[in-house]
Amino acid sequence: MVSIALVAVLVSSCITTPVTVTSSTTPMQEKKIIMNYGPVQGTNRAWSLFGLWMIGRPDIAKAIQDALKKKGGDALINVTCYEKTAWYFLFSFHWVVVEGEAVSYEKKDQATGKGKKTDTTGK
Amino acid sequence: MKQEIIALYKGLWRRLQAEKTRTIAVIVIITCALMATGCLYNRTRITDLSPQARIIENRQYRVLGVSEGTSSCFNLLWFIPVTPRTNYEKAVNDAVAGMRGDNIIEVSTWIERQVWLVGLVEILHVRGTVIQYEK
Repeated sequence: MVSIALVAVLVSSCITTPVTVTSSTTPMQEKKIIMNYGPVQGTNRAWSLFGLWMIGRPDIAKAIQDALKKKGGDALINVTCYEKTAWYFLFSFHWVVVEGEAVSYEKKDQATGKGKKTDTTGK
Repeated sequence: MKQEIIALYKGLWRRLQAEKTRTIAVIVIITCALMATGCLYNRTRITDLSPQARIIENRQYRVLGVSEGTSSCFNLLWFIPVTPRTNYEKAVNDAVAGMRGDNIIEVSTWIERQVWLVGLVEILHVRGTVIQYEK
């Protein structure tokens, strides 16, 4: 039993890979930031069998939503994104991690038409 | 109290031992099922996150909704290219055309790589919010 545990420990490892750095998650031109909630982090995870067959996928949009849920806000600015992978005995886990500053921006008056955003999907 | 905790751990250990065979059997069945399909490897890797796919030409726009576009390629026997390479522009056009918009914002991009017995499939996904400029 000890040998199995030893092998399990020996074959465990992890790696962090940078994905991208971007100024914001949404276009911020002509948008006035009215509140900066500070740094937040969001993650989303998927796993794979033997590190070969991934079940699902790490979703970056869900990671952003996870980050925004923590302190509120409309978007992230100064964003860093990286992937973390951890291999264990039979499984491996894959995380996408999004870090940035959560901000709220001023919604333009729709009557002026400037920067108007009309959601036709009803969301 | 200490003895109760030890007894609890012993009970859990015995239960794990009893279920060990079943767990191994389930893993073997899943592995065989995946191998039988011919899929040797399947992995998704996130490649990019950006505010917009192209320069925003007009600040006044309508949001049409979320759309996804893809571009794929196939390599016979894993290294002989049969189809053109994956193309980011094609995937963006695919996403934009899906909603008849002009540009795509809040863009996330990822590559799905599938290794099959006969070859390699790569699929580039582009997902974001499609916008249409106000005339």
